[in-house]
Amino acid sequence: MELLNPNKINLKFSKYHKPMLILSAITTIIALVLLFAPGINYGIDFKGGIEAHLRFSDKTDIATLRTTLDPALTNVSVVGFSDAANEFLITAQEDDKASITQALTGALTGHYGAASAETWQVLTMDVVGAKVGEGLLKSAILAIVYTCLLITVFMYWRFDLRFAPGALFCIFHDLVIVGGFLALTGIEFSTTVVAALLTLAGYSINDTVVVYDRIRETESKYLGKTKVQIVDYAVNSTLSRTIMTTATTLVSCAVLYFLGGIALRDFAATLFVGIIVGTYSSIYVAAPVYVWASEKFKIQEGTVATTR
Amino acid sequence: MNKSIKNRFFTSIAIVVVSIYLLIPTMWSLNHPETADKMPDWLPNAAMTLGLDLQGGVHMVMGVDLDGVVESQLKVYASSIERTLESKGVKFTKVTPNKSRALIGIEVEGAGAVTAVDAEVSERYQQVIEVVGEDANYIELRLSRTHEDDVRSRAIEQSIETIRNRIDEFGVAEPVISRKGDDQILVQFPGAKEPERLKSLIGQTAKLTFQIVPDSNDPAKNSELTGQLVKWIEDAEIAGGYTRESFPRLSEYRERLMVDLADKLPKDTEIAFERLNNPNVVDDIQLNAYVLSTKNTFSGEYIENAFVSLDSGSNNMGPQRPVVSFQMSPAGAPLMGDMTREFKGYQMAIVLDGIIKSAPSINGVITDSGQITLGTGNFDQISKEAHDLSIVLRAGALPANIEVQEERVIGPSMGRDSIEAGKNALITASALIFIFMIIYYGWAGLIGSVATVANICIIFAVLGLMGATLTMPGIAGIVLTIGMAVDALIIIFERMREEIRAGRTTQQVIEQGFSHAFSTILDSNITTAIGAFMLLQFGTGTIRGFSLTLIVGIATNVFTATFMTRSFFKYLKSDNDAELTMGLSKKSLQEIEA
Repeated sequence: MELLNPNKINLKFSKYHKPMLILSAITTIIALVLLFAPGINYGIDFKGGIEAHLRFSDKTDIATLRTTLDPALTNVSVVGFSDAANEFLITAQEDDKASITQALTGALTGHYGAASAETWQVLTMDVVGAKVGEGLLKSAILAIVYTCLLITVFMYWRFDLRFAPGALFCIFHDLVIVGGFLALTGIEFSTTVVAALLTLAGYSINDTVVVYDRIRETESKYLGKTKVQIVDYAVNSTLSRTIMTTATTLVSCAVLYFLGGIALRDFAATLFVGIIVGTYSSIYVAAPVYVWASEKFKIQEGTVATTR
Repeated sequence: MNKSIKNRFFTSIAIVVVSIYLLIPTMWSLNHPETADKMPDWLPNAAMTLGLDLQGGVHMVMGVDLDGVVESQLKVYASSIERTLESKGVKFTKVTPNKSRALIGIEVEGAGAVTAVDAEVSERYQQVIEVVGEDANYIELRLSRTHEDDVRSRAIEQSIETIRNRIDEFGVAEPVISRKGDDQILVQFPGAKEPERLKSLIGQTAKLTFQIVPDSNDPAKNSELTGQLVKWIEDAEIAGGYTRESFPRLSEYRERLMVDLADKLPKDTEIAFERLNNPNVVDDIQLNAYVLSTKNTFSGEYIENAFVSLDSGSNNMGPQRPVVSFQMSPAGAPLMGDMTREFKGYQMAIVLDGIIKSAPSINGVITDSGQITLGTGNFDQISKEAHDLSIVLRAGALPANIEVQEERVIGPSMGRDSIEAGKNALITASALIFIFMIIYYGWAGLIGSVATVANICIIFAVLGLMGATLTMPGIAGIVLTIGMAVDALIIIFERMREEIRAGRTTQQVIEQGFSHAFSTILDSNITTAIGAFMLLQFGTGTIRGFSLTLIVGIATNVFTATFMTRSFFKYLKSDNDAELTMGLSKKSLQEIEA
């Protein structure tokens, strides 16, 4: 089967470089705004507190749970699961009570009886101290920043100065937009989501590497062509691969989302969106930034730009 | 056929066979976790450990109050210096340990006193205490850096040791207890059933002291003091505008009272409470205040053994209740004997972590054994409490206060659900992608699918050999790796199509396809690896499992895509006129011919 024949297609991607760059800029700015308001919904991993995933044998409802737990805990939130009517996720803020877990189990025992398979049971329970969370957030942010920088340095080392800015812009663009997506949907920012973001930083640049590799190869082959022509050729000739890869990785993420259980849902959603944004940015951020950078940093082609 | 092609092909096959052999134990423990110990001997010892999120269990991070340890060390030195100065006849007014800055300040009188202190300190406390500043009649001392570090790391090591002893005695299988960062301890136990109980067992400082109750040999004086104490407490509460309920912990309430009553309490005494359950009302706890001597005390560290036994019942009438009996060590017995001889007829309070467990009267000289009675309550609860108390007494006190900073409990049923979900996701994702590849690339897609299955086997085998832990995010890492493995193959296959379109022969197509794709595959995998390595640095708990599978997956990916798949292609399409269509339709192939 064959979707695209690179010899036959010659889509003028470069025609839309400018409008697409403007679109990217606007989206990035909107995402940045979203990061401040409504802002990231930090999970208990980062702000401290308790999060318990409970299963009840008899049907209970959110309202009953809330009235049971409200007096015992601070800032209680109760969320149900769409695919399991008797399971609930309970989160609460840390307070100065001696033990937040005791407060929770005490309140539940008071209303539903002692925990057992016949009454209610804890599937998972996480308690994180506020101080621990702060430290974790700091190291999460550092990890993300270092990843971006290291990848940029790597791109500079493997390619050259005309390619590194594109890589940096791409990662920044992708991560900020995914961050905006997290803020907009209110997906809880947990360590698992950080894992998704760090994977994404490397993964979304994948496409960019493939396109850049082809640009570099084409450059040395067709010395006479303009930058824009080279970019269009490179994007066109890798387009079939881009579509195939994006499709298969999106399938992986979708499967994780639907079959991987509750623990992986946010992770899969973050990656799913990230992969789409990453694919887009390799064509409409990485390529135009390369055109701009190669005019800015005039490096003798065919000498530096050969494969090391 | 070229010999090296053959060699490479059979090397690849051998690697896959070995991997499959290595991965049997992991598959076994995933499918039948309950019979994991019945695996036959001929299987390799390479099963991946299941993470807490897959088998259920408790993960805790405890913070150790090292500042508190340094502070109490400071106090010990301060009083030791005080005694030294007294014996040397150096005149001083005050020795104050300053906990916030970890300093000891000494106010001295008279000319030459500062120099005398200086000389004393540098002689007696060489390398332990340093002089940081002085003026005419004031000198400031500090624990030396190396000594302070020593105190801190010793406190952590002792805490770990103590916790390990307690958990071992409690009987938890395969606990993980390790140091984390500067002042944290990580504790993990798989499949623990009573997390709350384990938590209190670990967290208990278990500092036991025996303290004489002053004047308790004289009923009249004793009740007068007790009456006064109750009045003082009431007054202090009214003056300060607080009650017991204003403090989350009893210890904080007690500390506040001690500060407020500092000038009222007799010299060398402190306040402590006994908790009494109201037998008629559930959950109604009364606090009984005592004045305890801080001088006539005896430390519980001399306890050699502790065990649960039953008391004789109240005057042989009531039901028997569990108590903790203890035995003194040979070193402690004479000291205990001295104290009980001197204070015969007094009450001796048995204090655990600042709370009075009981305050029996000393009727005779006690040297080697004793009993601790516990509160009232139902038999089951008390015997659990007695059991746990005997464990902590045997294992010894913690050198520092510890606080649970992070706690994650995963129920066993959640673990089973997660394994199921992970398996389903892995199989479904692979099946969908393989169908996709085979439809799109035909024969090459099939070879690619075989290589991807081999890749998954190698990942599990390598992780098993590394003794890695398989977690739910780790399974996600493998699912993602499939996506990436396929990406590498797609890069190769698309390249091969281009070479076909350029009219090259089958051998050229294979050669060019793989060699051109190599640097792209390497670069794109390295960028992902950078993210994965940073994640390994950042990661806690289950996330590390994800980054580890991702890193191993990236490495095996590059290997299977560029070595294994290449050898398959070269071996299976070794004839020069072998047909290689890469799934291109007859029509487009004809166009290329033409």
